[in-house]
Amino acid sequence: MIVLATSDKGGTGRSVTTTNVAYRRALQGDDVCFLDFDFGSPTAGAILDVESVSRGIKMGTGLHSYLHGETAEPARIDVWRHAGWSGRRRPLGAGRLVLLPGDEGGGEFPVDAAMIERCRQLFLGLAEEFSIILVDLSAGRSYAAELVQEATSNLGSGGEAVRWLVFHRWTRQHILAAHGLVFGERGIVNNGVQLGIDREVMEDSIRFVRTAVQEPDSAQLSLLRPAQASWLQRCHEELLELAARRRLGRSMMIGAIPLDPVLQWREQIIRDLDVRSTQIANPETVAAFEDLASKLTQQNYWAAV
Amino acid sequence: MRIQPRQLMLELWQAASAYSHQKGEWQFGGRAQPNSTADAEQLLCLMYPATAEASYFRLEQPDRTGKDVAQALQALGEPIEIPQVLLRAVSTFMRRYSDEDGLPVFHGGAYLQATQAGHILSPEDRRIDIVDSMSMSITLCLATLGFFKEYRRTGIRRAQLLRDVEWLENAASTRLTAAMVGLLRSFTVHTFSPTSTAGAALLRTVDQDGYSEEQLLARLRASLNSIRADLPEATDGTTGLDGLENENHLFECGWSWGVVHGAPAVEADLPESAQKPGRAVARPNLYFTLSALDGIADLSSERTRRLNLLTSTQQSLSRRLQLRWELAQRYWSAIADFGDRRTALADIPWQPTDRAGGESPVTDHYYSLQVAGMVIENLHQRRPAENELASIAQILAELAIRARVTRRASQQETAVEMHVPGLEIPLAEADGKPVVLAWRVTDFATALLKRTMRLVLLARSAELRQQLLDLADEIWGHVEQRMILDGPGAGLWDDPRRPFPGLPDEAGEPSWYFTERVVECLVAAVSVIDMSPVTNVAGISAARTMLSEADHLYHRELLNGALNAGGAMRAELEDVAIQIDRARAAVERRPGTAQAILLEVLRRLNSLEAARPSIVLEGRL
Repeated sequence: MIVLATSDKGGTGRSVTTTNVAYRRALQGDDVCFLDFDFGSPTAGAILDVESVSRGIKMGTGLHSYLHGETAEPARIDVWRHAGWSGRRRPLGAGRLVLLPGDEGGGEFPVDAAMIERCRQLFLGLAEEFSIILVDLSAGRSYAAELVQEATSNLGSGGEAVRWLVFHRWTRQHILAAHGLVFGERGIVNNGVQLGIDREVMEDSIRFVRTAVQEPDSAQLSLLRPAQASWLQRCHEELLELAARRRLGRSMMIGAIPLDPVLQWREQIIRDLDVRSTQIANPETVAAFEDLASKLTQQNYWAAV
Repeated sequence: MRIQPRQLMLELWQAASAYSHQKGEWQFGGRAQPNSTADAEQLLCLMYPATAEASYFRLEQPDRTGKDVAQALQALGEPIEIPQVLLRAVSTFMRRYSDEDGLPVFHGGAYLQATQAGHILSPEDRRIDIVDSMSMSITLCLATLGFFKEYRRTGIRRAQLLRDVEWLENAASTRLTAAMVGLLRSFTVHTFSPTSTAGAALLRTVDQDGYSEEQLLARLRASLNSIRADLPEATDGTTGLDGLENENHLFECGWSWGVVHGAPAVEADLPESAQKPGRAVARPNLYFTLSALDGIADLSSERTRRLNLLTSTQQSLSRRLQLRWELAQRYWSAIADFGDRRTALADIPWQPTDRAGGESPVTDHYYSLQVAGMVIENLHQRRPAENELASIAQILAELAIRARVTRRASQQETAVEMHVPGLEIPLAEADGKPVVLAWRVTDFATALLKRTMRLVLLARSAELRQQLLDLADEIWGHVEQRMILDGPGAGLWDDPRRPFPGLPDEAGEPSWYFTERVVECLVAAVSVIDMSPVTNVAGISAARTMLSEADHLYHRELLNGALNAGGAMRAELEDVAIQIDRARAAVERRPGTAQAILLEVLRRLNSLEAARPSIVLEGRL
């Protein structure tokens, strides 16, 4: 399965959520690889705490170079062995967790047919090795996103399932932007239709993830003054209604990641010990990652009613 | 009002969904064996609030389902799954209560009782159609049609699901038509001589001012004249109209307990065979009349119109039912209103024109409540005067006392019989056949609460409204005591042993009959809270006076050059201006709120003024 993670706006927490989901999924026993397609700012290395690639890989062997035909194989990094927080070995029962980093100083680029083909070959090869391929795209519409959508739309018969996770924060602007990114005139759905995919199949393959969510009844908001709480609840209701009208409602939502100080202050992998032992992270956050990770492959969350 | 309908409803939903949905499937059943009325009641516990006019408990649009609502219904699954769970449950109901030819049936089933202890009812006896089931089905079918019409609009597109929804919509529509036809054929006119037992009972009921029998008869005839003239319009499916030709006879109209013996077939989109010959006696019964009225009211609701739920045949049937609805309401209201010094309704308890042998007179209070219910529904058709409402409020309060709803009951008090075992209505058949079947009615407390809520909706003065809400709270206190605390039906109803000690233990399993009526009361409470607060002229006038004073003083401050007095003063006056505007907007609809804001404003303006004159007076300049 190929999971494409995108968002219309920056700062949604897309990368940190996607990496945590990859980590959780690998812990659950799947072989997972994570592709950093955010060429403008490859940060997956930093989030995963792999020192050597914290701003992309330096030797010109990253995904960026591969797509330009400058290297035959993109570099791979075994996260279990190289991440600072890991014990240099894979936990018992866990699957592989492999990072394909971008190049340091990569940047955006126009797409040509050769690139699309290279990208397609890359996915075909990875699909044989890994059960989950997570692709972190940059925010907004980008060449990289177009490239990936085109490459994955044409993986051949019996091809991998392709699913989209669209991240947005819980604000009016983010809801409208995410709606545009998916359902807009040049949005993901219409792009897919132009690439020959059925509109309904396309819509079934897209789900939204709300990030940095603060429910009005969450403990963090219990210190608000009554008037603030009253106002906040009204805002929340308006957003719920807006989301429902813009087709970002509960039926299209596959996850909601609560606001967590650890994610806010330092984008990083949250391990179970961060919750249980040091208690710096909230258990609800880990639960939300676990939940999203397992729903990725549950068909009923990806079928229209 | 101390009743908190949202919280109570969600608690009830939690218990009802946990009981009804087990092992991934909807389970029909409760204290009584499954039957067409009880199963409809069980479904309506969820479907009725979910499709009520106020949208707090909506379920058909999962994107808009409230968080607490979703939590309460966890037993049914996630919000997205709930409409499909209900789809399967209601479809099962529709299949189960159809005969071999797929035609809807309204059998009394396990709700029927034998009039004689020890007599065991045959399956044949239990397959008899009952007005209660028809009326419940009208409500359920309308709820279903509206629910799934809106559910479709959420953009569902799975082919099998669409087919299932379509199947249910067709089944619900057919059942709705059949129920309406059944009700048309259950409406009847009963004529009798003034010298018969029935005639004597009716004359006794209207005899409130001591007129001679002749005067009384003349007055009674005069007040019923227009109804008598309009009744012959209600020909379709109606029996007993020819009796009206004898002008000397008295009459009553309303619903019998089932399709009346000899009731003609009605033109509708139904096969001939669906209109089986009736068995019921051609005599209206107050309980079934009110039960029919509740179903018919849903046919003409704002929601039914807005969502355009009726086919053209059904609209025509609905109009014919409306006509009977109005006639029955007018008739019973006219009788209830009889009397100058005291109305017949206030002469508690009401004497029915027909009383079965062995029926306890204490259950006559039931008839008072039912007539009051009809009068209240009739008042909803016009704008009644406040004193009319007050006198009915008094009657409800007295019924609550007499039925030991708002007073403590002593052991073995006869009033308890109204609740347990309740009113037993013998289902008399035509031609004086021996009566073997009876229908048990045990909803006195909830019926009283529902009627009280319906009356609150009409009250325009704060005093009467408060008085009625206090009564509603007291009745609710009684109803709440009857909630089942332990066993499979915990959180549902009905366990009357706490208010009425000494009753045998038969709780544990829920009574959907009672629980559904509790749900109706909570929905009624929602509509009460949904109204805007009542106001009165005095309150508005006081608020206006204060507004004018505050506004005046504020402008004087400005005229005095207060804005030159620096930032603190400017900020204060800006805020005062905002508060005055808020108060101005609230004066008409929330005069109390306006006064509260203005009190604060006046105090603040006064403290500005108070700081000034002392300096001048002390003359230290």
